[in-house]
Amino acid sequence: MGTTETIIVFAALMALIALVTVGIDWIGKPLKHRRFIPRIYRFEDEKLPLDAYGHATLDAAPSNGAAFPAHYVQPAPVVVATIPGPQAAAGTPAAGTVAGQPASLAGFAPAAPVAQHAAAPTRSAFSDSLAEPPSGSSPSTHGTNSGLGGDLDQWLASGPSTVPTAAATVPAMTSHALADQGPNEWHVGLALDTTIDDRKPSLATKAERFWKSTAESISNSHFDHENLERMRAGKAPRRTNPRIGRVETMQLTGLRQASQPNQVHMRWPGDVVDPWNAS
Amino acid sequence: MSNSLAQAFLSGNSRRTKWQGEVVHSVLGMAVKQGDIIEFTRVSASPTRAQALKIAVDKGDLRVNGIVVPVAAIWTHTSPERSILEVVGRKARSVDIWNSWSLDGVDSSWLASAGMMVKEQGDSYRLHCSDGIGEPTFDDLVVDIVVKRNG
Repeated sequence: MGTTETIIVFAALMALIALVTVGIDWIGKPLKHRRFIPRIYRFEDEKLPLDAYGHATLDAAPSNGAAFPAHYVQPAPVVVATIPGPQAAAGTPAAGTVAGQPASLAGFAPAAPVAQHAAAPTRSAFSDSLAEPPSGSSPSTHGTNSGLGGDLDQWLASGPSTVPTAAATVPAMTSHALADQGPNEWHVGLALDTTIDDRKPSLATKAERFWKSTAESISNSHFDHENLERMRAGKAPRRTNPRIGRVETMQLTGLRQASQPNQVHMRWPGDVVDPWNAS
Repeated sequence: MSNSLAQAFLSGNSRRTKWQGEVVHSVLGMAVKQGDIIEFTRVSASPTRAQALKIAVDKGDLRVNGIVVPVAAIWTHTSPERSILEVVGRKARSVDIWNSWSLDGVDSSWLASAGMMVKEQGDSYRLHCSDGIGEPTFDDLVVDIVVKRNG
């Protein structure tokens, strides 16, 4: 085979690979967020540690050595889901036993509060979520029960309002916010680009979130009541420009790349040059 | 802020309204022509936040500090106390002047309590400007303006 033929065959192979890749990327989009556990972990002792929600995770906290590593134990999600709250959990023998031996018991993996947030996204080893968990996230987000067990008595005493928030993409929210909005809804305090149900927000959604966040953070403002109401509803503030006799809407720059409200710049339409600061 | 100055402007002529017995402007218009010199002298300014006067020519430009721009901003934190602008453009007939302020890095005008009280004497004006924050005070920026006619 000559040089020309070799180059042609090589180019054809490359084109074929490229086509297959594009096809996989196109067809495989719905499968993008699947949770995939390799078959290599088919044996009992090779199974990945499970987090509090029963998802495989590599983010296991160090076990205490003496006790059986609880995060290697399959959880019992059905039992967890049926426990309505901390009071009921405290009445069951299993919960009472666990309170005394937090890290050494199997079967306690998904504690009662976890079930309330089972629909929330988690930081699984194979999750596509790009969001980082908050620094002060609850122990249950670290994939083991050892942390939760240590705080269980305290949690049971404090009641359901202190339910540890469980999601990586939905960090800690107040009980008030929980009451107002479901765990899968964006609320003020979250990043502008937070993914909800594995869907990235559109630019319009990010703008809406920005205005809602700004409305909450404004204290000493030149915006009147009407504009503040608009911002709380996720709309941009407006003003009347007396020079042209028209209403203008405030604009945002840097929204596409922004994750936090302070990365977005607000501006009114119209370019005005400062002759002493022109660059 | 239910009856803000901005709402008073909306209820009537958006360039001028009456506020507590005084005429308040949102935009001050002046007749000019090419070659006229407009001299701004800052009398006082609030130290709380940056204040500015903005000037725009209807059909033409302004030569300020060596550059030619259609709309210029004279900010308290960048400009000298005395600024001189020259009207450029044969079709220029008028300039608009309005006040502005900077809050959290955002340059704003015509909001809430913003307005200017103007004392006029021939081609000399004294502008008492109120920014949009808090109640109208008309002491956030005080500027003297003198228009020197060309020819």
